[in-house]
Amino acid sequence: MLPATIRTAFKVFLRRKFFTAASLFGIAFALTVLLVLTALADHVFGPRAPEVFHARSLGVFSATMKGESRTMIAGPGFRLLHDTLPGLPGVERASIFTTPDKAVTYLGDRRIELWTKRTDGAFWDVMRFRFLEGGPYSESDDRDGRLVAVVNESTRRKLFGTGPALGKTFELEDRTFRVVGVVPDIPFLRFVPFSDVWVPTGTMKTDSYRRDLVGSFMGVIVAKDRAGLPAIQAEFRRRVKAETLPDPLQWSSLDVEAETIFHGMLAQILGGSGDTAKVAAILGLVVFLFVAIPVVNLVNLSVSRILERSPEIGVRKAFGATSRTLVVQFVTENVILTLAGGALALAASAGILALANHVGVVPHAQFGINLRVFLAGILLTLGFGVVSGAWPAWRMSRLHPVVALKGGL
Amino acid sequence: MLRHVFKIVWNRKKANALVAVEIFFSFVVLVGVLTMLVLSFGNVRHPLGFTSENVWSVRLDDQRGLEGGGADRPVRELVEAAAALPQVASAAAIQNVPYSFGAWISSTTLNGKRYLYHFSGASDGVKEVLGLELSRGRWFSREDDGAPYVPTVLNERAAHDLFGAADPVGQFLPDDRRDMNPDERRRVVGVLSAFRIEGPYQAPRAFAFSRIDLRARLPRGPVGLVVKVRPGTPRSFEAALVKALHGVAPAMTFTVTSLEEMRVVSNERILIPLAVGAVLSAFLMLMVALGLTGVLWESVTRRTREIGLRRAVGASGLGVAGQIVLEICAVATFGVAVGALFAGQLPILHLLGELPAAVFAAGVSLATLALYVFAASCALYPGWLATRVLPARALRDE
Repeated sequence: MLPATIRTAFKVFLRRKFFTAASLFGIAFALTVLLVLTALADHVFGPRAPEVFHARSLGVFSATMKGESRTMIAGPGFRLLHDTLPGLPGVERASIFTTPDKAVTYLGDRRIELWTKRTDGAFWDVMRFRFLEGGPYSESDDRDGRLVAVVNESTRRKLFGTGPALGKTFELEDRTFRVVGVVPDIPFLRFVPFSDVWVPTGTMKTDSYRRDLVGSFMGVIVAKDRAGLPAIQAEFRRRVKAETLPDPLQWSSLDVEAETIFHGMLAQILGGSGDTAKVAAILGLVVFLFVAIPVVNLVNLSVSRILERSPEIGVRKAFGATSRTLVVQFVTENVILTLAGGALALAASAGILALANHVGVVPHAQFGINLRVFLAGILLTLGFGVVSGAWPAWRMSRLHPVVALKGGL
Repeated sequence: MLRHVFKIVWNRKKANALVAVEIFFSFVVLVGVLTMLVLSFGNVRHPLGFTSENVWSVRLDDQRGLEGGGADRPVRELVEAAAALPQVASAAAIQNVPYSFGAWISSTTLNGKRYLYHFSGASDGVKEVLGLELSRGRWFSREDDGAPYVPTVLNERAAHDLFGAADPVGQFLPDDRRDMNPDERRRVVGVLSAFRIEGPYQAPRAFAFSRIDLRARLPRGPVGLVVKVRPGTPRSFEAALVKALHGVAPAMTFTVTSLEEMRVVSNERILIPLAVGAVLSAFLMLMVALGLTGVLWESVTRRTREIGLRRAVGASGLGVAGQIVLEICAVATFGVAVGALFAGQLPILHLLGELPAAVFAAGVSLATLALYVFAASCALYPGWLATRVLPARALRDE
């Protein structure tokens, strides 16, 4: 039965080439957009090294301080994190580090921009980097402010050319740092670990950052287990409440949350301006339209395609074919068409992602189609095929044979 | 004629409903994209009010965080050290550099409503570095030294919003109360013909500069330098500039960026999403076009008998093709009407935010126009097919 259905399907596709091409184009376009979006989401949110504790981590990424006439939205400051994170019950490890900052180093006539992140020693326990050379710096390096640095692969190439860099030195912000470790490039969109150069926080030129409640730091904790996260969030909230605000005349409230890494990143990507819900609603509408328009388009085409075959439907019904048989046939035809479109979409999105990597839209990004994205793509394709095929098929299968034979609707 | 066409469409409402739904969704997409295009490119025609050519920005970081900062930073010495270099034409201190993504926004109460404006501190040299032009009053100068108020320069938009037709020069800002500390009351000394710190694609906004007196106490918060280098100065001069600044303040770090580079990055941030949106929508519309053409084609094939009959009783080929085009336009009207109904709710429910209603209206009108042209052009080929129907053959077609 099934092979006959498939044979009929191909005959039908070849008979009306315009309809087949128009349907294929629509399916391939819609699935390409969805696949590229899935690959981007996977790139940003999917678990991958060095963030191996993703599932049982919480992060503090944003702090909002409000006063009567002004609002300051920034990262949490060092003091806030230092007061609240250490010794949270149920926490295995915690780290405090800065958001990456662009620093410039001069190599002869060349100007090299390097993203620089300042971290404590525990950072290397919270993030599990794979080291190509050497290893991390320690808690005591941070305490004593030793001028040591971990650099990524492309920084090693820019500063020292090919060959190992361990023990070599380079200038950064007017001081000489010694390389103790080299790690692979971290994609820009993994904003928690991302940087080109990592140095101890203790190497800051002044220590006044230690007094800030709001600043440019981030904190990440790893809980003993996932179930403990809500209790940790509650305790964190309590500790934030206990903080005294600077200049109480100017500032009246401080709003900080320990969020899951997923939520934190979502908020950062959606603008971090407090309008997250609005931006998410607009994004949701856009994705909805990009799915709804192709589906409706495909349904319209399918209805037309099937209407054209109403004499065939009439004959088959007159000879005793059940509605079920007809529905199966039409949905199968649609799914075959969608699968072909899906294959085109896979090729197209792989090409677009490779192009994005090649042009370097996002530093160190390695967008690609991995198994997760591929499986999501297959699911999307099948869903698309069934949804857009079911309604026209059901409608046609209910045609009265006499009406169908006369070519009515 | 039109009533007749609507009647035909209404009689086949079940078949036409999905096409109308598709047109409605397309209308929503077109309104979004066209509104954004009108908004961004409509802004370009307003004057920018400054020049970024040969201007470099130097970020000073004493690593004291956002709350840090104070009177003890040697900003005057840094400005003087930069200005003393032979490659530098002029240098000044500023709080908020053009094309940087951060913005300082302040609010005041105007006629009982919250009125937002962007602001920045600026030292006397900023006019020369950024090439600002005044339409009224004067820029900051030494004659403001020791003034019992904060000398302030507005852009024309802020002047118009805050003072209407009255001359703002010499006035205090409306929300500054008489009992305020004299060194917090802001008094307008001049008006810039234009100043749009965010760049050409952003909407013009109200802006206020207040004077930074380099010889007196510095304002809270970060301060940076803007430096105008002489034409032809190579980028490698940056290292020498940083070295000279380090001579004044060894504990600070300096990050030099050319304003031209910042302009490119800032414009790309607007243009790339617009381009991606426009390309995606173009593909989406192409897909819809293929779909509509397919649907109409099929409907012409299926209605061969009806068309043949009309030809037989004397309808011209043009009349038949016109009917196909008018029918799809009638279907489009249903989609557009529902879309316009939704669009009309946005200004009523105050969901437009900062989007000017006129821009939105322009987007909606353009989308409506584009959609009718689009729908009609999808009907051209099927319409032409309809003119080819031979009455004699069509009537025999069973």
